[in-house]
Amino acid sequence: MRKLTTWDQANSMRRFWPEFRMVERKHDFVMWVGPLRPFCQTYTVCVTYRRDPRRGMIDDSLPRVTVTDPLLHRRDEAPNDPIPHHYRNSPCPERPFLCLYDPQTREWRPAMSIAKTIVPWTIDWLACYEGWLATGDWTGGGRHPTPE
Amino acid sequence: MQNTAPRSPQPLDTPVDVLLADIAIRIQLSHTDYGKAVQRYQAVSDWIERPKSPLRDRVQSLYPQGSMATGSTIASRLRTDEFDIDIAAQLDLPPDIAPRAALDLLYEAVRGEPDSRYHSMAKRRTRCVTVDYSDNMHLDVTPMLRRWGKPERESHLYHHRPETPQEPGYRCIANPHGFAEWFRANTPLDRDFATEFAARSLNYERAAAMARADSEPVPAQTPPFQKSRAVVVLQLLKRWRNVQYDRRPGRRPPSIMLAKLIADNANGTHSLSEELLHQAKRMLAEFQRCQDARQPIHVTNPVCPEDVLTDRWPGTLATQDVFVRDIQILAAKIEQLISGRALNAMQRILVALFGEAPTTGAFRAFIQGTGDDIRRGRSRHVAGVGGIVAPAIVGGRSSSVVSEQPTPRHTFYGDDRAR
Repeated sequence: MRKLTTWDQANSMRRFWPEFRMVERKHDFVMWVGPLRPFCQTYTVCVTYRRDPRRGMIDDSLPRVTVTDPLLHRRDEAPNDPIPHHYRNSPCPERPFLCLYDPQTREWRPAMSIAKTIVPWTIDWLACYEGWLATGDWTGGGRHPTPE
Repeated sequence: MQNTAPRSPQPLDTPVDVLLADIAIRIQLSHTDYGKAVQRYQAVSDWIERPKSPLRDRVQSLYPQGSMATGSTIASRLRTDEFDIDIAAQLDLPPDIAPRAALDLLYEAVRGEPDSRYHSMAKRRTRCVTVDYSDNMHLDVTPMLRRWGKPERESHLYHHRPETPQEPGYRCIANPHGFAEWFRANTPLDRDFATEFAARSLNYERAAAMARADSEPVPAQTPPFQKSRAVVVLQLLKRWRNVQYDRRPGRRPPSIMLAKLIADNANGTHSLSEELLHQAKRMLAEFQRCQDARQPIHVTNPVCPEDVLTDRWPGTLATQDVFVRDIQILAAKIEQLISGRALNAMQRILVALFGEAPTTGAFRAFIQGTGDDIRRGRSRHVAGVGGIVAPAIVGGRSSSVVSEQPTPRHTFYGDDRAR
């Protein structure tokens, strides 16, 4: 299947998530910011997508999601336990990237709509994050690339 | 702009409502225990009519009263599942019998001979005789003398403290049967809510029975578990009262007073959390009015004005003021819940209101259900209008909401150690 263009992705986002604002769009890069509410708390999330990877940066074309408000945090009861299923965002460590899907099994491919996959998966991630904050258990499963 | 989940016609359509219902389910008398309570009071009825009983041929009827009659029985203790079942025993007694004699007579009839079945289980109380069962159920049997020529089942009940036998005690007029009928008429069922709540109750009990490897089957859904929102709110408010008064000396605000105030303002809303807030605010207004007038609240049975429901509480304005402050905090916390909080913040609020065990149990089930849906690729979301529906709620729905969409299966991956 063909890669969707940033224009395709923008149209799909506008249709399914009208409260998301496209704050940046270039030829092969797009960024949206919008609200998501898994249960009762509303989060502002930022979704970025670069259609064509930059030279030498293999994962560069994968969509990335960060939470901008409220910032993600560790559990008060266990401050040494890291937040599950995230990647470090080196330039901005307080806004880690969410690990929403398994890249090794190609659960997400550029032919897929971000609006129909990445955004709903973010809702699932936030739901599990809230459950983890409340109980210490991440109940949504997942896979770790490195052994414990 | 903040997006808002669209309201659907579901009886429990927000996480707050689901969690409140699941807390209420965890504190209420189960189907199994309800059946047990009915069998037990029928057995006590037969026992006190046995040939050698001092009440032989003098028992006119035994009937449930209090929470057993309004369907709002909850555990009487915070940390153990103890249930107090209130039963009225309408007896054929001499009209001028002394309070002490009436209570002692029932005590003697229940206790029976040494080594008989209730001998070591019966206790004489101030207004009733209690039968204590080994599984922490307590049957409170109150002797009543019917007032003939008065409205149905209007009766005298007797008050005499066994600790001060020299004092004469007194009798007062009551009509718990009439009150229960009035309460039920004023808290009618919303069929959809009642059906959903009863189904959740049954599912919870069956899961708990399976976890215990219990061979005793959970009885089928029965009418007492078809409850209105107002009755579920009464259960929650009684639990909240128990939590607040757990470490306080003295009497607690009586359940029957709470029932009266709730039935006065019942079912004025469309969701459980809104009903809880509505009731808390109405109760606060009523108590604030009394406090401003420097009067202890005075609540009577609407079908029997001589039956004063606040005869033993609050007594003083200082006692009443403590409760007023409790309700102010309650209303503020419910408003916080409704306004939108993360689950961990909601959990802290609900633990403070309803105690650790039922709240933690309800949250764990909710979070586990959400995670199960995600892991199995069954989670759903609402697109189009921008609202989100929690997977745990969608999973329990019987009808489809048009804008709900299945979320494609996915696997959370990675962690900070990978990079």
